Amino acid sequence: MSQHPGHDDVVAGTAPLVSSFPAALTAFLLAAAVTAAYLAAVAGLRRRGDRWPAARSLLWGAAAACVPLAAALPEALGLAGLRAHVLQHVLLAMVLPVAAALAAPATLALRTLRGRRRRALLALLHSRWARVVTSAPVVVVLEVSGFAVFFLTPLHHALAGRPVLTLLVHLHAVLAGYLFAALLLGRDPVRVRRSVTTRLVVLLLVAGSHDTIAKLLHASPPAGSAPGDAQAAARLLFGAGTVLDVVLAVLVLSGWYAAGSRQLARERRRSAQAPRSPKTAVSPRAT
Amino acid sequence: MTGRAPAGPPPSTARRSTLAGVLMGVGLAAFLDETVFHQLLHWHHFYDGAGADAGLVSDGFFHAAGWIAVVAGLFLFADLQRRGGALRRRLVGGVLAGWGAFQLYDGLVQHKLLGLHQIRYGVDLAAYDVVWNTAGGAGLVVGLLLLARRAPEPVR
Repeated sequence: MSQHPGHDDVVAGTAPLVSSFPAALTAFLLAAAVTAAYLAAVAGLRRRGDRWPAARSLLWGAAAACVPLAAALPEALGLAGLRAHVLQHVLLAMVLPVAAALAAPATLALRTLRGRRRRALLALLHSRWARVVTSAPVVVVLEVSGFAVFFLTPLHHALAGRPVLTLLVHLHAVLAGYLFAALLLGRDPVRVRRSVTTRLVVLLLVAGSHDTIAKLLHASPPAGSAPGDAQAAARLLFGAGTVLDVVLAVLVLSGWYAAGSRQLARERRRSAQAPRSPKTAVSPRAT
Repeated sequence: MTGRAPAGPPPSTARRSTLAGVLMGVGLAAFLDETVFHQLLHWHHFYDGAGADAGLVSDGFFHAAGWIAVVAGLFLFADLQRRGGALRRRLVGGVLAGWGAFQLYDGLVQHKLLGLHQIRYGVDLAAYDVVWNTAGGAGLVVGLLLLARRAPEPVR
């Protein structure tokens, strides 16, 4: 029998959010279903001769795998309390959305859906509601409010024994994270691409808030957490935030650098063609 | 010859060289702070229990800004190099000014004004503070002097 979280954790109100076997099984089935749907769409594209990078399928699989990992890993590692919450936050709110945004699910859906479903997705992407939700200030507020409320208020106490609320909190984190990652990476056509400066400012606001909240968690642990738990959790949160900060900055800037390479190549082609292209045109000085 | 002579680096090269330098300088200061003083020497503490919450906000944002700056600065530098080269004086001036400004901000505002954390614990701080801030001030001044020096007229 697997070891269930001790009574101490329940009393402290910081038992892992999803730790039961049925929850882990549901998470696994959900991950298998979304992976299968993605792979089926990619297979459809390939059949009609379109190309779709295999790396994107792998990234989608990794994103999906975060769900069962978040359900099972804290308990498997013997983590409880805030450390378990942070591990789940890293998997669901940080790794999953970035991997998912790199896998470009909206692009894949637009290429494979037909008829009414495709029109419905386009209508959703072009709706006024989507314009508001994908605007840079709203994305920052949605993303920051999620983890600020989660780690700095007694919300995680309220989650114990409330599976629906728990699910909603995680869903918010995943969706807000996806909007944030999609804005930074610009791979999915969720909205018009923003400038590199805008994207770096959005990254700075979110990453800075994340680091600040990790420090605040360290400085003033929530009431009822076990001694030392908040400090270990805060270091994990801070370290994971730093790594993702660097990864996202590199992704944003390597996209910019690649766009510059394409522009340079165009300019070089043009200047190489220029002297010999208009053979009929006679230069004024030669006449 | 009436053909266009090579007009030297385009005007944006100068601005971009300065920006790349400043970003790399800020990144260098944050990187040194993080690796040398926090991780290697263990002089700085993650959190020492003193200081206001404002200090933690400042610390969190400067930590994030430092990492973004170093990545952005290196990419900007690589872009300048493939487009004919960064202007060295502006690059070096930018690095010194960015490093010095960050060092001074850390030493004066974060350490002293906000009481965030100190350079080292269990020692007389005065000498450390003087060295820390003088180095930062010198970097900032030399960097700004390099940036302010008039560029040689482009050869026509």
